[in-house]
Amino acid sequence: MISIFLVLLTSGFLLYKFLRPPNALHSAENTGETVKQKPVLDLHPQIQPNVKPIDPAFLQHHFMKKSIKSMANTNE
Amino acid sequence: MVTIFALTVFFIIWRPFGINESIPTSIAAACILLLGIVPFKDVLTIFEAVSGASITILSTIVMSIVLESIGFFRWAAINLALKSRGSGVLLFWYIILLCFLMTLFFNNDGSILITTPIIIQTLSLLRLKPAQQVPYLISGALVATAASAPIGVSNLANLIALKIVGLDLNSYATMMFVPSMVGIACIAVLLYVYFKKDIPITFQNHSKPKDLNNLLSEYPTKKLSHPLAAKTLGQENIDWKMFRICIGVVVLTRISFFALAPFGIPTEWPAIIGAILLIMIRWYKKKIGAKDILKKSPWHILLFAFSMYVIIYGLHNVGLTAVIVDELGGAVAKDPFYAIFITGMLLTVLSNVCNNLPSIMIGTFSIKEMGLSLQTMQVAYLANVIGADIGSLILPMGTLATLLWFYTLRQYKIPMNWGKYLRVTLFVIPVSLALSLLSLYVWTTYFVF
Repeated sequence: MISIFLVLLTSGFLLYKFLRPPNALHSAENTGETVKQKPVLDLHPQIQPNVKPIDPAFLQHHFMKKSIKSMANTNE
Repeated sequence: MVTIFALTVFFIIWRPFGINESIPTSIAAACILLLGIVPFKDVLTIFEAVSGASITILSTIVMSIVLESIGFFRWAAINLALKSRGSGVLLFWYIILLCFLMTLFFNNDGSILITTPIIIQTLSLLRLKPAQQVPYLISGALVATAASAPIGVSNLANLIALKIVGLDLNSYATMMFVPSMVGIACIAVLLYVYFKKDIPITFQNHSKPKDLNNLLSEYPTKKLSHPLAAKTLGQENIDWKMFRICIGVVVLTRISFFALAPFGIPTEWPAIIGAILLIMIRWYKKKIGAKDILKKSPWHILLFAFSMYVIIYGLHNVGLTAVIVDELGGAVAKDPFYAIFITGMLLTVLSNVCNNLPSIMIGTFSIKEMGLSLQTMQVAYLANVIGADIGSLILPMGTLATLLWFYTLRQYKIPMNWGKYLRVTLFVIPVSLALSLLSLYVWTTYFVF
């Protein structure tokens, strides 16, 4: 009977090894890191982001109406 | 009676409109009871004979359903892909080992239903074409089914007949573990020899342990996800404590079958307690009730086992077992060697013609009536089990597990037919069966009795 216990314990340990989440996830959990998946949208390196600079006239118009004091009060 | 039996087996194998296998058996059992072939007064005796074994198997299936619902098996495919380290040969042996372990801790039908999708997921991760997947899938299925022989609790067919020949789980394991392991090892080695040329030496999509992120990103979450998988991999927190507790409950339940048997505690009690424990752990940790278990559990197993027993009892009452006793009784009684080989071969033929569950019952009723000594009767019964668990693998209809495997492959559109299956089993099974039976003779004669 003892031998069948040993067989089942050893087999149980092997099954645990097969079924448990991979080691990388285990260490990630301990260090507080996460395992990242590949980004869904993978942009080509040559593609530049299409960002337009803010129109200086707009900024001037926006700030001209405000005094230094009021800008300081609103943290602008 | 023979017509009723033949029609029942035909409908179990054909399963028109996907009907449950318990429907033809129940109709046949009802006819047999109404015709008076089996008297109504025997119904309670039959129910007592099959209920314990059926409840044990049912509880084991409930345990696997609970574990599957919490994602217990979801990392197996990635683990296999990582552990194989790009080697096709290593992957082959890991798949064999996983299938063996799953049957050892659950049961043969459950193992097939859980491991087949895992193997397909692993092979898809490694970008094998459907035709290249066949060697791994056939090998896994044959080993998973044959692995129900070493311990009695992995197969309904083994458990039902155990009491009839006066064996308990421990004496079964003492006599059966070594011979059936020899048979399983032989199956594995012959499968490797047969498929050696088809198994890729290395995979192009070589996966090292550090490639986990790649595997996670390539994991086919929708197309090939496990039928009961709930969430996407890598997107949830892993409850390691719960994982360890669950595997602990599974192993302890299995051990308690053997530890409690000497105290006369039937196997169904630890099985029920193990299943309830897992349901409670899931409720405590995940707040999931037992509603899905009630829906998914194959309650029909009770009805199937009961009605099949009624049918075999009917065949016994009309004299089928008497024919076997008259024809083979004398030769079987000669010597344990004859007993082992004759009953093992008889069960192989019967199982492949009419499935292993009714066959093992016919075989057991027959050897019980041959007037054998206790020792010869027990080894003849164990040879029956080898015939029913290993010999039955020659044709797909030999076991319910193999039929379930074919059904699963069709769902995943893997090319497989009876001819392809038969070419492999004819090479592997007869030799493994003969070696198992010979090992049973040597082991029980020189080491046990």
